Amino acid sequence: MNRADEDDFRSFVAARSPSLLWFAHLLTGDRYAAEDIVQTALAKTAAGWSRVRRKDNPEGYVRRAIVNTHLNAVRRRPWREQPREHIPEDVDSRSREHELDDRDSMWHALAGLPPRQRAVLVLRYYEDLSESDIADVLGCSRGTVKSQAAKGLLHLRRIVQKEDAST
Amino acid sequence: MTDVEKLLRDTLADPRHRLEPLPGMYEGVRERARHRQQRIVQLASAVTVVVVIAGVATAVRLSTNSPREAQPTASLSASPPAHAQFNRVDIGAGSTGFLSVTPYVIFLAQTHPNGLIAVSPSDLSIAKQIATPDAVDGTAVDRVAGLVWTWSSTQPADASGDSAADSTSIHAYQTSTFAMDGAVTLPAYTFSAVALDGKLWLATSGGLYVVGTGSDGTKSATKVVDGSVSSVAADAPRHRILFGVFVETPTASSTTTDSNTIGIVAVHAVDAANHHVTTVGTPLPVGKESIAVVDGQVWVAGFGSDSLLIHLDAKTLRPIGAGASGLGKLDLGPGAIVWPGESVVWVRAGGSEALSCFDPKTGAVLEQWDTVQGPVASVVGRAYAASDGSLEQLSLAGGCKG
Repeated sequence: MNRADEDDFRSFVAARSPSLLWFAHLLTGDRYAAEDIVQTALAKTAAGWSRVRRKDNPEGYVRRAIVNTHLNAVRRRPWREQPREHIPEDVDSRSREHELDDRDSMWHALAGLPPRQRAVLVLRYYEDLSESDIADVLGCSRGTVKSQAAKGLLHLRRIVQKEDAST
Repeated sequence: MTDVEKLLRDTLADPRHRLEPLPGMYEGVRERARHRQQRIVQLASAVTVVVVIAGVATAVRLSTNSPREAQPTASLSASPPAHAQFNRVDIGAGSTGFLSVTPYVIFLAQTHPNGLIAVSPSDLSIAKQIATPDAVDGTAVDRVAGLVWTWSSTQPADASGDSAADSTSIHAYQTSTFAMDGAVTLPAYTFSAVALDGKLWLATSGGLYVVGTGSDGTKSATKVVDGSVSSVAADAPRHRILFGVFVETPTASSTTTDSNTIGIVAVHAVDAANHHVTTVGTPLPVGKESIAVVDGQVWVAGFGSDSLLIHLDAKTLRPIGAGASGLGKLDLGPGAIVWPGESVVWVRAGGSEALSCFDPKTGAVLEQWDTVQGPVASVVGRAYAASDGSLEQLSLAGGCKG
């Protein structure tokens, strides 16, 4: 990496790290895992930064690297994130009575989704990507994106309804 | 848009999930990029070597017309250095106690003055530092809940042996800001503690305690198991806590015939969610034990005259051996202490400052150091030891992954 690329990459990391970390946090639900995959994705990008920086959307390229890094890591270590039908009672219980209860419940319901379904929903409802763009990022068909999104939403709806019924 | 979709969108946009980059983020990225580049170069070199050797072998076979002869082989693995080196960095006056390591922060307790320190792993600079109400005996980090717990135990000043006067002061801090998240006091002396799923589990003179957060946000302590619990470890994949209890003390023992045996303990398991004891282990001939759970494997070390380093069956918590040949060659002296790494187990010989890193599944010793003081903690690629006034980063030059 030459000096100009180095300066540009440093500026990019400084400016976009908070946004990239937020995105990674939504994907993983774990702040340390988020920091880990963002650094790994940026490290992968660094070598080819002179090429990446000339793209229309370098940040989109990095976000795609983040998604793939996360899904690859989950595939290698499946025990780290296992979907559970029943969300365990833990820290979420403390905030049920507060005004942000619903979001907290939704955040914990997201933790019960398989990583790929969660990624589809984050790309759809946070990144506002189209189905074909999501399919491009994840390397799958539009039909798969559609079905994954539908399954994910169904799971979330069930959890939210269960929460409502219990309160 | 349905209500669920709107709630999902609001949740994902909730600024509470925003993360601020830690100091040294860019340096960390560049360091990873360098390591990545080195790995690519090494891999390319290795592939080149294999291709060249294969080419030579083919040529030899063709020239001799005898394919069964000339079978050159290339080994890409190197023997780990017997005694690896480490770098030591002073992080200020005062002794450092137990340390907790995540990929991006090292948490250290400090006394004189009492405080909690967050150290950036990229350059070992102090990223955050706060004063603590007491001299901290230990720290435990909960990556899921975003909390770092500290505990400080006091014993009666007159040493009258009145255990009722023992107490432990526990504080929880948010890892990102070090803002105090809560505090609670226990009526017992704490030997060790571990964090799992937003709760802190403590091995104390009064039993196994768990500290959690109530619906009103306050911290509260509950006794889960009675008796003297001397060690505790988290088995996160199985959502359980392992703990060691004294079965017999030397003075009360009629079965501990060897004078070197300082006690008999048993390791049991408790469900981290419902707090029920799920597995009861068998007596082990060690005292002052420590437990490490790594990669699904359970190891116990302690002081005694028999097996000092014991591999337990994760399901039954019964011994399945004292390790493979590599561990059998270790000179542990009167005992050993284990700490869990992210992918390895660390063991310190009780009679010296020798430290070894071994594979939790095979028991193979991967790397050794002659003198490393203080407790050890690691994540993949990084390992640290904290001792009086300094933090050492161990050089993982051999097969130890951390």
